[in-house]
Amino acid sequence: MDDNEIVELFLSRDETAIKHTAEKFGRRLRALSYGIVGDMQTAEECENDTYMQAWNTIPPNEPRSYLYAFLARITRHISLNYCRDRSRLKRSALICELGAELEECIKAPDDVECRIDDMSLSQAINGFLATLDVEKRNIFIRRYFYLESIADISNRFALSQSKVKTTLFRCRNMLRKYLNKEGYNL
Amino acid sequence: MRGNELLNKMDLIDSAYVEAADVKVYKSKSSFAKWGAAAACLCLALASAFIMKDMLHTQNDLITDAPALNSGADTEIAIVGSNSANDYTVIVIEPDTNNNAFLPFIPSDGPHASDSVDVTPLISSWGEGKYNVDVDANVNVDMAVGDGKVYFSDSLTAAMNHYGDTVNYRVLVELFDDGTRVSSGSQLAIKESERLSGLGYIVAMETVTQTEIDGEYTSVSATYYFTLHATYDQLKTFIASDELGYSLMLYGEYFGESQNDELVIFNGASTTDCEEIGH
Repeated sequence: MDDNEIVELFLSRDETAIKHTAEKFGRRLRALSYGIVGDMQTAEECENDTYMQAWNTIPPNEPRSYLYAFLARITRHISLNYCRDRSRLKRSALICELGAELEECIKAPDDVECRIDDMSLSQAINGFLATLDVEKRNIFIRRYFYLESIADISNRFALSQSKVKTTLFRCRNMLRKYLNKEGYNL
Repeated sequence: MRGNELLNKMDLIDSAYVEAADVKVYKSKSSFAKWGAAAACLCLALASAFIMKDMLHTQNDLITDAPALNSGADTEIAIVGSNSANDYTVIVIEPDTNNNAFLPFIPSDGPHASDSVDVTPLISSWGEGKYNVDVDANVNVDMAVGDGKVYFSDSLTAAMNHYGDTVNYRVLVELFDDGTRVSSGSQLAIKESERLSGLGYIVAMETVTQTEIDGEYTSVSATYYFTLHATYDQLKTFIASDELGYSLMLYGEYFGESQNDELVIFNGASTTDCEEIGH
């Protein structure tokens, strides 16, 4: 069943929408959540919460073209909150590590909330990603959207870990320069 | 703003990018890039010129005093063969644990053996192939190289200091134009490869084909990598263009372990011309 048909089921409040969503995307959403939370039972809870949230947000959203990305965003958000709220130390360490990496991209980090709105920040991030070639972009997104480890990224793309680390290092430098050059003050 | 908040905000990444990144990639190397028919002919012509020159050498010119493999080096593969673009023998050499001097193995009855072959090992990696910056130390280094300048990676420098002119070097070249990285498949890179070929460098534009499979959907994209097979002297006296910056690194630094067992394909030679002998 394609994404459009599944969204139609959501819009017509047909509960088989959840079943079809789980069949098509369940494995990937669980894997995404597992990578963040670190245990399968919690990952399954996050997956189920994702379906509930999807049910509550479609409509008004109609993610006909990129249903998986829509769901992945929800799963990511739920899983990250789970880690932060429940202070699971091992997974918190991962999130702290990723946060520290991304802080390199901010010219003058401080405790003030983001100074620009989400639309502008979206333009900034996606504008930057558009400057990257496919390989670099995918590595960057696997690390900072999917929160994947260096080892998993290197396995996925058949690259050495050294290459992945170097690529991420360069991308962070390039993101910082891009944000400065384009005048985004975070 | 702090890093954690930016990490949260990464959910603003475009859906198309998110989905595109959720595929498994299978990499395979194709043979010499199709774009370079003219460049390939030029490289073959230069290689032929080298062959004609080498055919005048006698057996006594063969290298017999190369340094021991395990004297600080950790070379993964040394490739020994003739300089003929279409007559190439690949030999995988294990490190010599007895600390004996390394002699390049010349198969006397191999299918591509020749009495007048000039055999020079070709180095593509050094140690663990660390990149030219300590990424673990989080050093803030500007990676771009200014116009007219040439940057040698730590591994390449170490290999050159160790082996000198007893080996040739398989080098990946990154080009920069006014501080901006130049795509290896671009016209500028192609033009530069032609310039270097004209100056006597053996240039290859290798392609890595990525096949992305997402369910029933398969897409193929190619990334081009600009490589040189250079002598020690050619690297030491690298003739840079005033309009470009160069970052040179050993081939193995970039591709790492996953490429260790790949055969060399350059100057138009295909894998069918290469034969692995011994381990």
